[in-house]
Amino acid sequence: MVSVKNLTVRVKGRTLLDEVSCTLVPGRITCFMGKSGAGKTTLLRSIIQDGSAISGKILINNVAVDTLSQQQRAAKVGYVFQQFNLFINLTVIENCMDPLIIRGIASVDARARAEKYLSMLDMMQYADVYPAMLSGGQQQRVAIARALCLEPSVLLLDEPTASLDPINTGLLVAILKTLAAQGFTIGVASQDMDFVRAIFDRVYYLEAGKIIEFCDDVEQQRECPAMRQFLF
Amino acid sequence: MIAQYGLLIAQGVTVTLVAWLCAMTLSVLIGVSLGMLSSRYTSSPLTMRLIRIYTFITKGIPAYVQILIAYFMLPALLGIQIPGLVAAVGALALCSSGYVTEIVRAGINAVPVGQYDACRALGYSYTALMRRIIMPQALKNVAPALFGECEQLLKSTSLLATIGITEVTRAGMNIISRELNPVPVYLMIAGIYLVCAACVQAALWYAERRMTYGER
Repeated sequence: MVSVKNLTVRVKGRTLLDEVSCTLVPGRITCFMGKSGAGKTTLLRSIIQDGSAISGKILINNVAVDTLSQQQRAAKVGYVFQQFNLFINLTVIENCMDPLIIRGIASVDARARAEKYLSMLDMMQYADVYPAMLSGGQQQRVAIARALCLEPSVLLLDEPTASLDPINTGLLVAILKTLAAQGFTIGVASQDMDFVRAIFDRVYYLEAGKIIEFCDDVEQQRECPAMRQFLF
Repeated sequence: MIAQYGLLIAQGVTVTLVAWLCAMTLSVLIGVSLGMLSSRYTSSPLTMRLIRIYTFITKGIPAYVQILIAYFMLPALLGIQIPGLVAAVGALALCSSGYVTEIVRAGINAVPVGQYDACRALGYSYTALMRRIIMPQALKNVAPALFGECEQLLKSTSLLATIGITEVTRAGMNIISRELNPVPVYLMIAGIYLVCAACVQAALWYAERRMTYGER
């Protein structure tokens, strides 16, 4: 469970998030919608402490995220970047193993865990391939596998469909639903309406750094005019 | 001629290679360290400013002048005797390290910032991310420039002759003064430098082959 309470982010005098509060619940997919510059990415990045001038509170399983070391936080929250950001000097399996090895996990155990998640995402056949040789969809699955290798309870994805074709988007929907069914807390920032419509359990709508609408059941959806024009 | 002056040539080649390898090692150590400290991933404006001043000075003064300063001026100022080879190697290393610093910094800054973001998100420490992710990519980016600087440094060792060190060029000059037949000697000296340069090129070729990360 991730709780964000009254989060405000200012960078160079510009308010990127203004008193934002939201909750990401285990087993459910929480989507953050909004136009470009609304603050979706800033919100997700704030959860992994990759921001500046933050006031407010972010709790992960009731532990304040700013009390965690970077390694502890990384073990609780997996993050998949919009551009995937796979390490280009490492093969697929090394991408998954390296974050484990730097934690002192033995190479054999790290390999076993990497193989488990790569197999789960049907990427094991590309284990010894460098990311540059993979398609966008394949790179994204590796990025998800890499994030899962640290066995976090929370998985955040930033604009995950930005460079995916419809087939890979469909695959991603299936993967995220499977992970949610396994109990992961999943947060997604996206402005891809079809994708959000296919996966959301709850949706926050952001505009100019503020959450202006929230809904998590069908009845509520009818009462959300800003979202309704995109989603329903 | 080779039979007659073989020992002198071998001595000259040895001095050249020793000076080159020592200066190169020092230069790369200083340059890589300063390059890392002055990259965009290091947030200390004071450090960056100091390194800028260092590179400005070491790049701005000719290697020849730096050798003269190290060999003649420093002993006079400090009141200590510095062996010629040590002074020359130190001066060449400092001179070259300014360029290596700039090359390494450019290489690090050319690594996409997303690689750094991913490291932080995955809990890498600064040392781990630099050693395992950023530096391998940065060095790949700048390998041709870095090896070029090594070649340049090899050629700069001929300046050691100016303070009386018998490296390969000086050895050749000594032979010429005795034999009064410069053409074969100059050709031999040029050939020795070319062989060394070919070794550097081969090393670069090998390094570049090892550092292809599946680029199409």
